[in-house]
Amino acid sequence: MAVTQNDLVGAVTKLNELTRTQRLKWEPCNPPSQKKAFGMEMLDHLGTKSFQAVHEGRILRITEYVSEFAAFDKSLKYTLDIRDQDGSSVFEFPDVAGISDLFRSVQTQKLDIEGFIRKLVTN
Amino acid sequence: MQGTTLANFSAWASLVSLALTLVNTILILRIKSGIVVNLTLEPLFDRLRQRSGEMNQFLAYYEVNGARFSEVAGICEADIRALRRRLGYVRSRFLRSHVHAARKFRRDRSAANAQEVYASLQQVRQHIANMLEERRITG
Repeated sequence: MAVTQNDLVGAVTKLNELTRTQRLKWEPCNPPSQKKAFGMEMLDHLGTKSFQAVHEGRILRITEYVSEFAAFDKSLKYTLDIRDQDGSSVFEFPDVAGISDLFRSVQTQKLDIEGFIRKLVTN
Repeated sequence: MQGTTLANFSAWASLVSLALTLVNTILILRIKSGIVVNLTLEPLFDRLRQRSGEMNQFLAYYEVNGARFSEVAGICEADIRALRRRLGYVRSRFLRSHVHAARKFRRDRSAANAQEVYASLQQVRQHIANMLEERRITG
């Protein structure tokens, strides 16, 4: 049976839950060098941030970037893709609900607020 | 004889005009609700995106943020119920899972139920995003 858009939204929500519960650990990584938009290759963007995590043998990468068309739309964009062992992207999730929330969860995980508070309390 | 024919004709004419009035009323109400949905859908979508972000943040440390999550979930539910009313019974079917999850959460404010509310909200957001996209294409 084909994967539906609802399945993709559910998958992103599940990844978010795994991230929040620390069952999926993300590490900073190199952002994708180029981004395609409207069929044109676009250059690297300033402020682009990427994180990767390994889940069931697949390398997931999430990226936050500002679109080249920032003059029209200043909002941040997000991509979530699956990479092969060579680091090239083999599947990019379509722009579905929840990817920006997943990125926030990854950032929160990297801040390790719980560890920070525990350290403050024990010291 | 002629008088009876005229009486019959006028009786039928009044029935037809009554039917036309009813059809017109239904059409006017549909157009009115369509305008309301068109004008409110995008701001509602933005609000849901913002609430979703807040819920996600509160879910990260649910033990300490449970009350704040409930507050945001309540506001969100009110927005979803308003949308349900505007869309009507058939077109609002996609909201049922969220309404059901919110009801379950009201009964038992556990982290699992809170996660269910958040997950169903993502499906709602995606459905509204698709609706907005279709409206942009068709005008």
